[in-house]
Amino acid sequence: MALAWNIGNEEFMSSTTDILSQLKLRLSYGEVGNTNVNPYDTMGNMSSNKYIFGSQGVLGYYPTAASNSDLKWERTASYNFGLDYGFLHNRISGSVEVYKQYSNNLMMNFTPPATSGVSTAIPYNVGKTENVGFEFNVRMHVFDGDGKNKFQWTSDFNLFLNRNKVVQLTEGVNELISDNLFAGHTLGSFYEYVGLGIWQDTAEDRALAESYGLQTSGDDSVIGTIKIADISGPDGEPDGVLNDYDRKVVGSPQANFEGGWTNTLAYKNFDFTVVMNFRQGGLFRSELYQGSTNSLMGGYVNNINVDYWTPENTDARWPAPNNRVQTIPYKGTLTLFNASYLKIRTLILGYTLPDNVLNVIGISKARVYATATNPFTLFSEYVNKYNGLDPETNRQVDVAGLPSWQMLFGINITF
Amino acid sequence: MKKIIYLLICLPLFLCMACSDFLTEENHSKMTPESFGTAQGFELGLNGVYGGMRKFYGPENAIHLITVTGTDEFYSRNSGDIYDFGNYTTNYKPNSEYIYDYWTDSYTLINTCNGLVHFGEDMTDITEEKKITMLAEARFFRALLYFRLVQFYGDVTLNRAYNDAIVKTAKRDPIADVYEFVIEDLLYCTASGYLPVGPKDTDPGRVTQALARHLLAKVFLTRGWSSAAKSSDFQDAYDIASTLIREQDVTGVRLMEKYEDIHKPGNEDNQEVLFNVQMTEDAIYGVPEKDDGMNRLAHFFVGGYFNFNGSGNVQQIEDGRVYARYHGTNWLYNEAFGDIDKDSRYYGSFQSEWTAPVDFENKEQEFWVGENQYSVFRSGKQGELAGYLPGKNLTKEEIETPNFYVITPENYTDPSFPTMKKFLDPNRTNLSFDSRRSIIVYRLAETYLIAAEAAFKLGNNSTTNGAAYYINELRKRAATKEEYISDLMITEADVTIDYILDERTRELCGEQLRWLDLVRTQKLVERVRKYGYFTNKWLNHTLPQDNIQDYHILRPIPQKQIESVIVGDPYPQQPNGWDSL
Repeated sequence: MALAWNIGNEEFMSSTTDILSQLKLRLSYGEVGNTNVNPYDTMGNMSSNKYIFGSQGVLGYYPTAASNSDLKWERTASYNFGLDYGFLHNRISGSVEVYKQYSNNLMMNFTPPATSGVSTAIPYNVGKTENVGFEFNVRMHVFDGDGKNKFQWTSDFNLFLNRNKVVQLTEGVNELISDNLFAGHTLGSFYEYVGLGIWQDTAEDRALAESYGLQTSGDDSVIGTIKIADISGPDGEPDGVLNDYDRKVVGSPQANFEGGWTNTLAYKNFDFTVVMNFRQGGLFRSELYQGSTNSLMGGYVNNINVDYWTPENTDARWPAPNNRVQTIPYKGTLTLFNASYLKIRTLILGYTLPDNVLNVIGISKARVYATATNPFTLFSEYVNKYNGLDPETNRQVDVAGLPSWQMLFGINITF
Repeated sequence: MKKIIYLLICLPLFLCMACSDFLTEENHSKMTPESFGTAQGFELGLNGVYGGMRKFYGPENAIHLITVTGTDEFYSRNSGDIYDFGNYTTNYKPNSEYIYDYWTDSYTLINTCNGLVHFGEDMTDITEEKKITMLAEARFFRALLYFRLVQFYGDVTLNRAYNDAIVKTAKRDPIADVYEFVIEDLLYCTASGYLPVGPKDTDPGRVTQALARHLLAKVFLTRGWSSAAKSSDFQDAYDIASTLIREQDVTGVRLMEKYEDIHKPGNEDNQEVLFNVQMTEDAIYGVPEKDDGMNRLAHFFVGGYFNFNGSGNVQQIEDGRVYARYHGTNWLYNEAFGDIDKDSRYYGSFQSEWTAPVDFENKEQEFWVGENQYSVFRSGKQGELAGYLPGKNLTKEEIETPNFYVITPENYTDPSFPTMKKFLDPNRTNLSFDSRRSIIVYRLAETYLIAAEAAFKLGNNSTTNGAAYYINELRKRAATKEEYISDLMITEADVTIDYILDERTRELCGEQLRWLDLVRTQKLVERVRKYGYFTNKWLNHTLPQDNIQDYHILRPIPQKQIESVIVGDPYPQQPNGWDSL
């Protein structure tokens, strides 16, 4: 349901039309449902298996998922407030929007305890979330020329940000760890230990490790492995033991803000376009460092080139390779990276050949151009310091299927 | 003005709600738990429970991880859960993967059994006799699963009824309650006429009354040692076990004549077997002919024999795929089996001869005899004997004279050790393929040992009707020749709990029972500290002897279980050790 009010056309605004050429106010409210449930998922799934008695083969069924006849549709209500504006005969124009969304009965996977006998994750109304956001864009004709003898520069800028939060969880709990849901935090938050570097072979570190009950010599020595902080225990206070209670929400995939900026310049038949987009804030998980390409098993399998700890190389980021564990403990503390970046997405440089040259050959219009796609990524710690390929993602950067950069040369001819 | 009109037209839209709040579905084609109330549905559900046994026996992560290793018999090589459980490292924690998987699989199947018992009562389309048998089969598995859970984890949640609702709460129930529930189920199973008397009376792999009696004897024995003991437990265990042994002609379950035949490929359904998990060669319902992890048990005990078959790196299908995960302790290889020329059980359990896959010449073998090191050159032809592991120490001359490799126990290394051959499968068509043999879970020889242990606890070690008698019966069967029988017989004075445990190793080595035996007899920590080592292990590996703690007699409650209880009291971890990890 929406309502719009074109304030700019009102009688009382006529005197400002030269400066304020457009002003339109928009309000809307809507409700949307989520139908993302597989058929019969609420009825208690069974799994099947096979068996044989001597030579007589049989099929078997056993219940693995609970039934949830109370499952409700997820409902999202959104309120939207927008303002379109224009100044100086729309030489500067754009819009501003603010919105708020509430999702009640958020439908996500929920894992019951194993002792219930039906502990497969099932869709469940796990709680409520809300989103608050802001969007802004502006288009400016900075120099209003024609690109031939008069300089032309058009600039488009947009900025948006969204704040997501899980407001409430079922039964009023603070967290559903098995399902990665945390009240007061965004969806998809990262629940991790807090890494403090590597245990060093110093008297101080040895004493601290021993106070936690860890070994500092022999096969199971922690020297050279990842050090984590004791932040909590069963009572919510640091308890001198390093275990699963020492995890917390260390970050979120949510950006502080994102946006894009496009500039087109033209002069003397040359045209040049720069398209950029940027993002600030948020974390992502890099599969390149988390997965089997970086198993740090020391000679068992190949590994990407990382700076790992040895007694001679003690200020390395990564722990000493260890072939006695199948996954390096606490490796997740090192595989989250800042998701900020500024990407130059496209650069286009073109030249339109002058008419008098073309008419001789019988061509009415010709333009040569060069395009570069994804040439630069700036301000990204992941790319510049950690040899990552591309930080652009929703939450996790996988190893395969990353964008590449390319250059294209071409010529457009019209006869 | 116009704007106000537009607003009024929009207002009624507020009042339209698109759909109702709840979804109603009716499933006409899929199976639901209610169908357990029909004979056909019940059978499908019961097959599901039998099939569930294949989760515990066969796969890479299976019950062997928590029964074979970390004992006085075996420690673990390699890495991951198998290494951590087998050596009690600091990575063996409540969030270890198999600790949770075993727990979850057990509760899921228990719930299925609860459903079968609950809805099965309503079955009307079969005879009363058949119905009782099917219910008894379901109750047997429920008892078996709870019995194992209570041994591994102590106080566990006792679900007496079927559940398909979303439950967010749970509590731990005392082991006494769980044992009573288990015994109630097994008393139903062992009631006369409820189950087929023995394996000869039904299809291979099915639950029989003989099996239920064996398990009931074992449950009484285990409870007798525990904190929930009743004064009649050892007597009940002894009575049931000794009766089962005495009624061999009725049940058809009797000891095999020769020990080495028990585990021979092809003999998986032999007369001594009370229960096995059916695998077989059927491509669809048995084990398909490939390497997909359905029955890997054959590979776990295979030593690095390519080090002594002349090739240095060639494996052969009949000698097994070298996984080399479970390595024997010094005690297992040097002392446990006693006089291996008179007692056939060492050679019946361990491979001693390997043929050469290729010709080889002038390969140097260094070896120790006591404090002295020597070397000799070996050679051999393809197909002939290339490696001989006699299982006992020999003189320098005996070792260096043959042309083939001779490796005595003092020369075993971390990678070179003899294969425990009970689960070996030489009939696979490719080296990496899974075994297709059924896995024996319980056999009558164990019943003898249960009777012996119960008799010992009752103070009856007599050679005529007490502990020594039952042990001697097994030793008589194990003798390589009749003239050695008298040498193997033991007397009343020989019987101690350690002797009974030693005899269990000789008889049941590697058969996925040891860890539970040591915990039951309260000897886990003591014997692992005494015997849980191997002197020639690799430097960067660790051993159970070095790491085992008192709290390791219980498995930890899985961390995920504790985290997922979000209503009511928190689910408590094992106290005095696991809870501070």
